[in-house]
Amino acid sequence: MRIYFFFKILSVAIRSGLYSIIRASFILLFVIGFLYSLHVGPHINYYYFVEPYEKSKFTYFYDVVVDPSILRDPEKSTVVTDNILACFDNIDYLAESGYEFYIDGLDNLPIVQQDGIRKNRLTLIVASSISSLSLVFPGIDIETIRKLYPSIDGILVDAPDVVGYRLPQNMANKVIDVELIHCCKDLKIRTKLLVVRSNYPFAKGLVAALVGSNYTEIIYYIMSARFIIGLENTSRLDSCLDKVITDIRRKYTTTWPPIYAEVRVKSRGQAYEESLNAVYSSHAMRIFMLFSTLALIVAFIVSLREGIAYAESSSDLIGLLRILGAPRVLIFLVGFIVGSIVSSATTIGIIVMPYLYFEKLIGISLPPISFLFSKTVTFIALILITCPLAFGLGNLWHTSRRSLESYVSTSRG
Amino acid sequence: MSKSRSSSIVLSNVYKEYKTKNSTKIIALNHVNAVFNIGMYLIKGPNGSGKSTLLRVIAGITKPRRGEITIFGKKLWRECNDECITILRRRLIGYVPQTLLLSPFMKVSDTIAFPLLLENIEDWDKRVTNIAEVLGISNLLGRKVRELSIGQRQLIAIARAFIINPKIILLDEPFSHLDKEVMNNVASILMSWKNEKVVIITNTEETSKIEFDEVYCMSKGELFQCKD
Repeated sequence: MRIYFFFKILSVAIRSGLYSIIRASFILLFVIGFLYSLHVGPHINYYYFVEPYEKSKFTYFYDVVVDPSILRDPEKSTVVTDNILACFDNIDYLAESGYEFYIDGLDNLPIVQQDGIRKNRLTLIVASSISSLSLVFPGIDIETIRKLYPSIDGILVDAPDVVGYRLPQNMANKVIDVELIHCCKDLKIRTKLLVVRSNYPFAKGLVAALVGSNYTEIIYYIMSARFIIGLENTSRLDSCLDKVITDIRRKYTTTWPPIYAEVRVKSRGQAYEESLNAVYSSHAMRIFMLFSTLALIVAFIVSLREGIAYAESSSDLIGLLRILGAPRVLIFLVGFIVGSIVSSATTIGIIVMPYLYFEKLIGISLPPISFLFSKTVTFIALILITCPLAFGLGNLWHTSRRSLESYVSTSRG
Repeated sequence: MSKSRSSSIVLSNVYKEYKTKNSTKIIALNHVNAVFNIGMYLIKGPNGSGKSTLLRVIAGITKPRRGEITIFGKKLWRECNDECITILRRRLIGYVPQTLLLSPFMKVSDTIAFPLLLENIEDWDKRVTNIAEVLGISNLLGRKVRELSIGQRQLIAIARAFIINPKIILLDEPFSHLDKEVMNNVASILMSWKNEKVVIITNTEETSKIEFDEVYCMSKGELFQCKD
């Protein structure tokens, strides 16, 4: 019967303080959800740019950095990519760092068919995302681009985001496949060839270039600068890439403005450390701490304020409980549980808002929610305890400020 | 002293004042002395004369600034602390305040049963049915308080006060919204307890069906026997 009574009281308490609960829930859902989205920023970078190194099976990584100005110049970019590709042509496979996306050899590159005719060479515009197309073709949609460039076979938008390329293995090919079909409609390109991990779209250019070496012609690289390739054995690539870079420098350093090209070979440990330091730099950590602290402060203040409002709106129930001498623990427990509803809404905000913010608003694919939660478990625990605690405290504070007689008197006479 | 031991409620020199926001003193109880034994008592007086404060003081809800309240031989606030007063109030005192203190979202049956549920009394539903029948509110049991009229709410608050079978019943203007028939019904129930309980009712109007043992008047915090 005590349980029956407790749930009766709880249901009345929820109904009585419904407005406070809804108000607090909505505020916290959006505000904490948004602050959490900012709070998880470094962890998202960690997921895309650090963890792959940690888990990588490759020993060495090539960090090929080329001045973007080269890549915006079709002639120069062709020279660069052709030369770089020549190096890769000599090896059996190319792999994304950390993940086993690979081609068995360039002979197995996609079979491309259009109108039933096998084409060996396609003309593609390569873009990191649909939105980056607008940088080159401002205000023009894809269909218009197609009309302006009737010779192109398609627009290769090979990943849905601009931050990273770390897609789950089963997703990567699928996504790329879908994107290609979406952008290039009839081309039916099978892209089970490669996902290059890089935080710069030059890597994507390279993907297209690889295709282009046999099948495509790159007419634009958009926002290209750098790519990283992981390999188990560097010996075959070292000399070739060194030569390419030297050639590029020799050829273009005399031009104005001078251009920059470099190949850095890093061990897995170095690559990991560098990425880790970049992601968790003191600047990033300051921002990280700022948002988490802000979220906790907001959660506390909003919950406290609404806890007070709740105590006021359910004063009939609280007054009755107090006058009839309900155990204090019961009053606190009811407040705490009601506050937990606010906590649940906050949790929903923590799940939903990053998705809305990153995936829908900015266009960045989120790491799995389980990953984010595992990285921010302390923060989530603090938020989850702060809401009901502050709500309960507000409730208790207001309750303790009120005298018993204030519940039963209409006046003081 | 011996008198207070044998009497149900004894008020000795009870003084209570309130301060308004502009620090003006309002004397709610001005050195009140009274003894309430088993029987029916009416306290009359204009608004703001201190009737409600007197009931709250007896119920142990308001602590007087000076004076002593003795209930069944126990001196409140001295021999009986907050916890003791709460138990006393829950088990022995059926109190209906003017505000009624009803949660609009609670079902009528749960509202009436509230003190029993707090006491963890098993047969609460049977007792609720009985009291509802006596007061003629059986048809309201399944409804929510917010669906009721003010008069019906007043009856629910009275039922809640009666359900614990209290030794002391304090009713603060309990009939203000009841129609005559219902009021007479409540009055006859109270009359049936005339020789069992202390019943103190504040009201500006006398209730014809109740034969009061004593009728007190209050004015400016002072309690005295009415002249007529």
